[in-house]
Amino acid sequence: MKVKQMLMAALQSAALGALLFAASAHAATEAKAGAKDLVLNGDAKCTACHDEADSPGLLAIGKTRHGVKADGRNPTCTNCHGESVSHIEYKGKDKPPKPDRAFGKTSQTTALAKNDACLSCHQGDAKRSHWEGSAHQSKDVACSSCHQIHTSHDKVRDKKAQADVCYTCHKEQRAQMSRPSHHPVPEGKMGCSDCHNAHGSVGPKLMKRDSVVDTCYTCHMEKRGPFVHNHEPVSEDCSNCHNPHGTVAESMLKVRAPFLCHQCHTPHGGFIPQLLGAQATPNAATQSGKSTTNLTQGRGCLNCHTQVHGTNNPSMTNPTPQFNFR
Amino acid sequence: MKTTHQPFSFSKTLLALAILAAFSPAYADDDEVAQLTRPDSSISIGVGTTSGDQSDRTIFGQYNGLRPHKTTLQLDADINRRDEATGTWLRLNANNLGLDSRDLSVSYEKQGDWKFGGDYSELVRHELRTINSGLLGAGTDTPTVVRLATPGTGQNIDLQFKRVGMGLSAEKWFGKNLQLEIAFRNEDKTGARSFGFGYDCAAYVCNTTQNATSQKWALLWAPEPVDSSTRQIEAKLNYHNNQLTVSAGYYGSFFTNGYGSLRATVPNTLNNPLGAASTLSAAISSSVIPGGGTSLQNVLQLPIALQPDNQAHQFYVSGSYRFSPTVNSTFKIAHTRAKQDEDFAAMGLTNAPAGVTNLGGVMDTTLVQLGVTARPMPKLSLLANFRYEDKKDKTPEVAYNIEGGAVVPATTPATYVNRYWDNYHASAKKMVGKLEASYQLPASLRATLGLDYSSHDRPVPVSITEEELAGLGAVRAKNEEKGYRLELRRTMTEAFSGAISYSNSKRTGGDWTSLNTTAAFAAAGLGYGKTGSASQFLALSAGNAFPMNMSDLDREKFKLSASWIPTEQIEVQLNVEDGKDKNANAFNEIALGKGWRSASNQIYSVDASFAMSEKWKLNGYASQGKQNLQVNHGTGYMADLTTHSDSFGFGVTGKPTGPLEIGARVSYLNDKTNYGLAASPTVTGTLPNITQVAPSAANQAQVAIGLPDVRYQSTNLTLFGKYALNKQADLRVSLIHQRSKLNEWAWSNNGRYFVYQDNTTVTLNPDQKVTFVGVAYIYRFQ
Repeated sequence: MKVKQMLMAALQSAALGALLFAASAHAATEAKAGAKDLVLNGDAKCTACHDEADSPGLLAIGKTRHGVKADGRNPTCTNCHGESVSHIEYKGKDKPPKPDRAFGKTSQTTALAKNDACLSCHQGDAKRSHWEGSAHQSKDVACSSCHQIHTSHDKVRDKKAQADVCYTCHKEQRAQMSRPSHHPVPEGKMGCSDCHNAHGSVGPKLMKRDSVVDTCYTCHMEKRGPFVHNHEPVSEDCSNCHNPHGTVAESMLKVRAPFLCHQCHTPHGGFIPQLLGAQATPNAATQSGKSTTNLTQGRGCLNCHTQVHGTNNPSMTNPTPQFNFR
Repeated sequence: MKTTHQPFSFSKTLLALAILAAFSPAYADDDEVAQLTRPDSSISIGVGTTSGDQSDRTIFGQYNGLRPHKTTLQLDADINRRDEATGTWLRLNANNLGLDSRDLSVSYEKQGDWKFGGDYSELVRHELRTINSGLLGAGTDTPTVVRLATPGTGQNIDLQFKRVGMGLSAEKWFGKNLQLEIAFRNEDKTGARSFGFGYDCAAYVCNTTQNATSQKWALLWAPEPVDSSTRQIEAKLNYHNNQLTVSAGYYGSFFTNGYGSLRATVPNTLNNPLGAASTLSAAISSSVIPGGGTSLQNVLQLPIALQPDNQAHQFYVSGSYRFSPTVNSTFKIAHTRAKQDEDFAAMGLTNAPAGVTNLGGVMDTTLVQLGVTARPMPKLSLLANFRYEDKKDKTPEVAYNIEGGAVVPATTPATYVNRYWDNYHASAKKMVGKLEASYQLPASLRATLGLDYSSHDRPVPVSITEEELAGLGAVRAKNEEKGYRLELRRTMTEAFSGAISYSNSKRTGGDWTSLNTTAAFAAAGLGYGKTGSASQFLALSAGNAFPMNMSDLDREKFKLSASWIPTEQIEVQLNVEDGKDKNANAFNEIALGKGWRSASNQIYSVDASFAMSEKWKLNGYASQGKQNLQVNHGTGYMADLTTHSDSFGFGVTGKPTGPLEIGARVSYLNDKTNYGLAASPTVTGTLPNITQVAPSAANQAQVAIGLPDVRYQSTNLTLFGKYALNKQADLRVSLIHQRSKLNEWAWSNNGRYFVYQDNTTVTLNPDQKVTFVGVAYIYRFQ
């Protein structure tokens, strides 16, 4: 009796094991034939292997706009990575061949091929109409060089993190942004894309608007004029005087007055820039207003020439506003 | 007979367990998959505290809202809800709601169909420096200057400038190809920013006697009051099919200013150069100039124009067309009309020309851009781009300008008559062209050759009665710049990629237009409005300076970038840039070149990252930069300004245990500008036979003292720790320590302050240390 019971228990255990094995085999078979999509329409052939246990990070694409199944425009894995037959059907024990299009740093896929994947849908985006021939495109920058697709937090689309992505290549701007006079990019209040369109634009240096001045005017519209008295280098290009990425001199000036202004103008006699308390000949009561320390310290030339961006003052009485820009 | 049911019960249980084992992972999997694929939301609430007082964090707290308050509420939210059946999103993103600089955005969108969005933001910029002044009504358009008895005894004024922005946007798709986008943005700016005004009596305005009791000049500080709005509206219709992407749109931008002018009240007693009270110069009499002059006090009380209202309207068509998979074109045609016609009287501005109530400013700009890219062979890519912009200033010309000119032949005492001339126009025509050919070589190399061309046409004066530009030696109607670029790039390799490039261009231009009114220039055919080469000008005035943005220049730049990935875990990047612009205009070898001479920039940087494991990552960088500018004053100094900028950073992130994540980052910047000065020699004799004269003893003595370096150092340490309390909640602790040292001489040097005529001074804590500690509870949900 006891033996019979033991035999029964053994048989049931074996049956249990067989049942479990059959169940998992059944599940695996189901994944391969009529398998269930995990995140994108038609992703089953990929997510059969790259599932939540194998590649949980990849599934995060579901959290993004690309993961909206109800949007019929959205791609599946193979739309971007290619049909990748050799990768999918690989049966060996080593690492399988890479997908037709891989987007990692060490990928052998050309930037052109990578971008074709994205442009197959995004070619028609109005904001990317000038991508072809743009600075980034012609330098083989791939969309995936800046954008992360399999994450809900694409750093380059977050103002607080965007600049770090741009600094990957633009080192000079990284150093400049650390200086005390800067746009609020390090503070996360502005991003590089507030001034630049990295996808291509008509303006120089990928300016968002058609020119440097038009881009600056979107926030600094008070400088647009026209004025009664214009200052030509101002209306020509703000970067004649300013470095918008950051400077030590105030107001993001490339260099402080008087040196800035003396690149074009050389008035007021043969003086040497000097500071109060560090003068070979200290200021006397007879000191001229257009003197040494008045042109060096304070606001320099702007101590008198106030509205240097232009002034709308129409006054026809002396002293004319034209020269003082007041 | 007894029957035992135990084995049978055991079997049932086993069966049940087996079924559960086979199928329950499916239920567990669905939850896990949902966790990984559904949008996340989070709300973070916490508190932060900063050390020291406001003067310790003027640099740190310039924009981040942490300057005015010691303890702050940290409140952020990132809400993302999605209806899976319809693909409709509801997003809300809020940052820094507890601070002065905060933002909030909301969007409701059915992906691929329609979208509505709104955003609100506040950004406060705090002036780094503190002003000590007796000024009353600071921040208004009618301040009153009050002379302090001694510097430093006034009130401390901390200026701030606040922007409040609000945006609304909407998009709608009509079918698969047609989309309408509308966006509106309004930004209000209030506050004040550092400003000032001053005047030094001209002989035809006020008495030019300068001594201990008669003061003929004054420099005064006042903040510029700001109460303005910018509004932007853009509406565009986008269409695309397989070949064409095109947008037709309107972009309107409007600026309105609540202030028209600054009208200060100024006392008639201000400081002389030695800081003692002195009476301001009186107006000169009508025997010197018809109508007489204006006292210095009244000159300083004249209205200073603030920015007038203006608007611009742009219509455009922009897009791209794919002729074939290998030939693509881009285009844009746009026309903009900008206007400025604010009433002068309404701005508080007086004495406009008779019958003129506003500028009537009109600027019409036409833009055309056309680009083509082609791949005629698989390995060859071609690019051509052309951009043309024509700005026509159609503002009416009126004799707005007046200046007293000495009567000729000279009288004793000197007498003056007024001269009048029209306003200057800011028209411009710019053309930019680019050709580029790129060929794929073996070994993953690509070679590129580019040719660049640009031209700039600007208006120049033709007659001294029409318009007059002052303070310049000459101007130029046309500039052209031609150059080439070479690049060799290696990409698409597992271990190594990089690029090396060299570009060279030369800017030249047409003849220079004279702004000289002397008899010598007129006699030589180079009187006001006449044209000639730079050499012709130098033959008449050896030290003639030519403006920086118009002179001939030689430009070259070298760039090298390399990225090495020896293993999956390690990446090293190297970047080198070296560029130089040199003034190539003619100059007199004896008098030496004047104005801008050259500028250069070098930067060397190394970046590295190392993923030690799945859980631990290191990264770091080091960079060294050098910038140089050389500029010579007409007769005074020669400056060689060199900035050395060194920086490095190091960071580590890791997960020492399952629920704990930590990170640290340290960065350092050392920026030093050396103001190298030399005294410029002068010349004697008559051209062409001039000789160099050594600089004056006074100038040489002054350059021996020179100017101190300006130095900025910033050290920043950031630490964070995030502990997962459970699957849905984290506790995050952050610490930021920043030390900033800014030693500059604009406002003080070695304890000696630059003092305005009313004893106003400006100060900055040169060594600022601040520590911020914050704790936040983060709740995550789906």
